[in-house]
Amino acid sequence: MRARARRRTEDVLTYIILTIALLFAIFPLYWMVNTSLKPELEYYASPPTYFPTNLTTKNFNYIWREYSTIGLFNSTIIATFSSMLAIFLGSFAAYALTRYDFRGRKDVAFWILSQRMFPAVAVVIPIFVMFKTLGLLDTHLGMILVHTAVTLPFAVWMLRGFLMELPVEIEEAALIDGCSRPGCLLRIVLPMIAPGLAATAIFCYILSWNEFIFALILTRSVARTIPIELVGMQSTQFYMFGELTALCTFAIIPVIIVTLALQKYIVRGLTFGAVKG
Amino acid sequence: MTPCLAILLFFAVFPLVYSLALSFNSWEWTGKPGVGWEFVGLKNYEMLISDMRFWLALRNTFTIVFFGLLLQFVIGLGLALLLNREIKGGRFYRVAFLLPLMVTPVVAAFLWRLMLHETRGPVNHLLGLLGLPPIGWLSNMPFPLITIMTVDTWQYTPLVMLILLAGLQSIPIDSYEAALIDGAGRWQIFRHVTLPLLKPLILVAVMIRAIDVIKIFDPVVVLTYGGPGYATETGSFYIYTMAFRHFSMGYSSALSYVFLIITVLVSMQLIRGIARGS
Repeated sequence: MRARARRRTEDVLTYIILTIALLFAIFPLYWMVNTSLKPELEYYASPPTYFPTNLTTKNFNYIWREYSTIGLFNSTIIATFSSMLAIFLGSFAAYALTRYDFRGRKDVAFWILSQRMFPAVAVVIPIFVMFKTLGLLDTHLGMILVHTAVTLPFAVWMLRGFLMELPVEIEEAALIDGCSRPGCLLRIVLPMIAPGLAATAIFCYILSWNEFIFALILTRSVARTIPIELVGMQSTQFYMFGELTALCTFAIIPVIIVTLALQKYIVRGLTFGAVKG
Repeated sequence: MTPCLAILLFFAVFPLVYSLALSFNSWEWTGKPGVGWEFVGLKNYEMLISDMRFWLALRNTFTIVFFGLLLQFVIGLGLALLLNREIKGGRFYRVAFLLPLMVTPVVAAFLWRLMLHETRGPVNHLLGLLGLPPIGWLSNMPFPLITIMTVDTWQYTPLVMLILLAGLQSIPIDSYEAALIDGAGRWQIFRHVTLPLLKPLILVAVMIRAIDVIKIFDPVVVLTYGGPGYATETGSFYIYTMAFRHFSMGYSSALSYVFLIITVLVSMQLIRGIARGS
């Protein structure tokens, strides 16, 4: 009896602590939506209102119609193409890393992983100079290439994990039946890891969508992505809280949807497959 | 395989060779690639040794790494232990905690900047309701550094939590039962059963976070832009400023090389620690 009462108290405490932590986790997002729906006089009021009553979509209209949607547009283009390129190149690399036994296989895999240790600032100066020479500065093509390079290590390691879970016997059967290696990869292996492939692509998509430092240095106006748009607007029009939070909302709606849809793959991606989640 | 390696070599090896060469030259960016290089030998590296701003930036970086990770580890472990208890609705909490994780870092930093606004933000307002004076979150040291740490903690504690939770759930129940039969108390079980078995994943979490936080850049740009003064500059941010505000390409290449070596050494050390631990 006493044990049960104790268990109950502990459950209640668990809920209380988790709920406090949850409020802390959610509040900034609530504040974003809250501010973006307030009219001008209210979003800048002091003290702030926690439960606004005069809701308006004016701020969203401003961003969508008057300000500019070029950042959203560019981010969509760049993230789409770079993530497709990353899983295309990444699946061949991951396949080679799991199915061929060659010398230094572990080293190559580790080297790809170690890309993540390099600070972006250490490589961005030469890339900037090279892009200037090649005329790739502030172009979509340039950003797609850079984001492919940024997301590729993640793609390789995630796909490698999915491929390692796949039994080799099926492929071997196909190979014996006269299927070529590339044919085997395209027709048998990739369809079998289709969910993993989709998860990897979407994960790379978000990485590209969120990437900041390369976009900051390598784009200006034509190919500027959504984070650059936001930083630009906050440095010139910082006090337009409502409009800025509306832009933030546009920026993270796709991210939130994907996070909820991909839950179990996100930890896997962020830990390079070390934790299955 | 080959195209993948080609693109990685192109974006990783070429820049490293190029910036190593550039770091022995003095070169002010004029808009013309390759024009105006002047060989100066080790002068950039000599300058760097006495560059107090660079060492301050490194100190800030490692302060954020150390305290930020400590905070994330303690909170993350606490939440993971709570979520590991079988309670109704645990899944709901687990999913909801994921939300901050993938938010665009620039957006996350901006939202906190609004919340911590000195006169119009809810945080100072709530402090006021408790009878506390307003805090200059972005202007009075050491609060700007604390703010940067807070944003990183808000965003990435869920990752630490989920890694540790995965670890807790993989601990076989027999290990606990054996300890219970031996009459171990809760704390003893935690200390002598849970923690040792969790160690490999603790190291994974610490490594992954450390590698990222050493490079911290986005929140600095949005929250403080290195200010007040140079007080919150981090390694990445200082190099960015030198290269793309002052356009001293040669000097910033030398800086970036030293920073790269420090980063890789620290990361290697952590990875080795993990290899030993697991």
